[in-house]
Amino acid sequence: MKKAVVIFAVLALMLVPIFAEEVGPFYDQPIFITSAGQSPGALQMSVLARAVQLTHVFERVLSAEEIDMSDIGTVIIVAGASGKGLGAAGIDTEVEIARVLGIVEKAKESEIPVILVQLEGAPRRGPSSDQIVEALIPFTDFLIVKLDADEDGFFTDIHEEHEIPILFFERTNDVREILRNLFL
Amino acid sequence: MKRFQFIMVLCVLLLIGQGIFSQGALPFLPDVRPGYGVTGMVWLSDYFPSIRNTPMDTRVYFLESGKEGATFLLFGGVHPREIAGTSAAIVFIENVIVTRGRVIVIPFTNSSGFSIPDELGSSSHFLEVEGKSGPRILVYGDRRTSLEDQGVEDPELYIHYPTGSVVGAGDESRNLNRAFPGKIDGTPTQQLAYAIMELIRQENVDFNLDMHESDTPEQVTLPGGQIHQGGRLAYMLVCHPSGLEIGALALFEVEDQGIPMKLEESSIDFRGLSHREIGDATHCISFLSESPNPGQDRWRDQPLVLDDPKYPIEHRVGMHFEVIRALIESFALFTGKEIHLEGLPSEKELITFGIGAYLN
Repeated sequence: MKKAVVIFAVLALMLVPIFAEEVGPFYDQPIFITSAGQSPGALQMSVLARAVQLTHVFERVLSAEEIDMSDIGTVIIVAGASGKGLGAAGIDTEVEIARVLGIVEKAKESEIPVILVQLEGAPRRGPSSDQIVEALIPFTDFLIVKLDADEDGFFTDIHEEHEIPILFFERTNDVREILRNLFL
Repeated sequence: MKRFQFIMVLCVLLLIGQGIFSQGALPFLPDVRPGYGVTGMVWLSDYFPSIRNTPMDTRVYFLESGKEGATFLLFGGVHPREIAGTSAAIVFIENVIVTRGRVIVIPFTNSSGFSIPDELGSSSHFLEVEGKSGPRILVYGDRRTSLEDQGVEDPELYIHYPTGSVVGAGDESRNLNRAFPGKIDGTPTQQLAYAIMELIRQENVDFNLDMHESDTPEQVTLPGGQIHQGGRLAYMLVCHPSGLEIGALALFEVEDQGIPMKLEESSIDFRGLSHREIGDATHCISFLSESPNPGQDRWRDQPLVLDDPKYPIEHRVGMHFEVIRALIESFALFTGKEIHLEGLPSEKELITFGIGAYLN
């Protein structure tokens, strides 16, 4: 509980410059949404984006070579490793990391911002998911994280060490408001 | 002459005897006390007569509004030990009134599995609950069709029909949730799955929910010092790919009711499960929900399958109800086909008043 208060205090300080002094949108549409780890979180993000009426495309397994970045305003990567999802896609964690690294590297070449999202909370934490997050951090401009995924301070440490802005949320439905604030 | 007459009488007696036996017997019939919302009851064998007069037949309840809308099939008891699914179906039948669209409910989907106690031995076969009209009995059955009702020995390995994939050990041939889409001339378990598919086809079901339970997510240290990781299935909604977005949206609403759940897509690699095969073989969008049942934790000595302080039956039934409510809303948003319900208790109401307050 004490930790949650600290996190929200950090959050509040960050939100002031993000949402109070400046007027959005902070990121451009259309949004390219993909998974990093093939959990269903990316699809959930796509449903949330649709609910907020954001222009977006959702692709699970496209490689960088297959994506035309010329029309993309922002890339959202939803991190979460699923053995079942990776198996269904016929790939392993290493191949998946290589795929999403290709996408974020291409985004950076085109100066397109990358938002990394941990949408599914504590159940979607684990060695493979953390490995994916750590690989993507050097290319990440903004973090959106479900609060219970940070019980060990993993994302807070990343935020502090890499000075990447971070927003925490408690309920998945709260992400609608975050998307509105960032994109509308 | 006398000898001829004796043989004739014997033949007649044999024929009569055969007639009696060929009529068979009713399946196992636990207590259900339908409420005013139930507009009809049929047998599953009405959709596939081969299971009539066999232990595989079961009752099917209709709750129809008479107003245009979606058709939703709700079933519990595919695995009869997963008692929250069955209890949710019973409470639904005894309380809910449908005011738009229609709902079809099968509370004891694998009747045969209900007729025998759970092989894990974690619970009594019959559990008493105080209902509104006095004591009610909830049945805690086994996971599978009884060997006697299956009528054949388990094979060494169970091979799924029609894909030919090896699903598991031979006793899984009696697991209804490995038997979909069934087989018209198959084993009794395969025929039961086939009958459910026939109901879905003949009633033009739009979407369905198959309510299950699994071990709890509790992580515990066992007496030998080993760490037991909690089960990963509990609090999960599994969706056929055609229903993944509907399921995703539904779970946001369930989470808003204080029950965070995980979304999972049906795998093409695991065959015979309702959420995969129903969705593949029909236009019905198929879902499966999992609540946490302490009776399925093998590390517990004497699990409380109804009154566990952390996972009481009210919470588990309520979880399924929150999923039902959210799925119906989400399905309507995506398809425009609605179902309106009255009298479905929330998880909070169930916990406040107890499940007995919703048993007639």
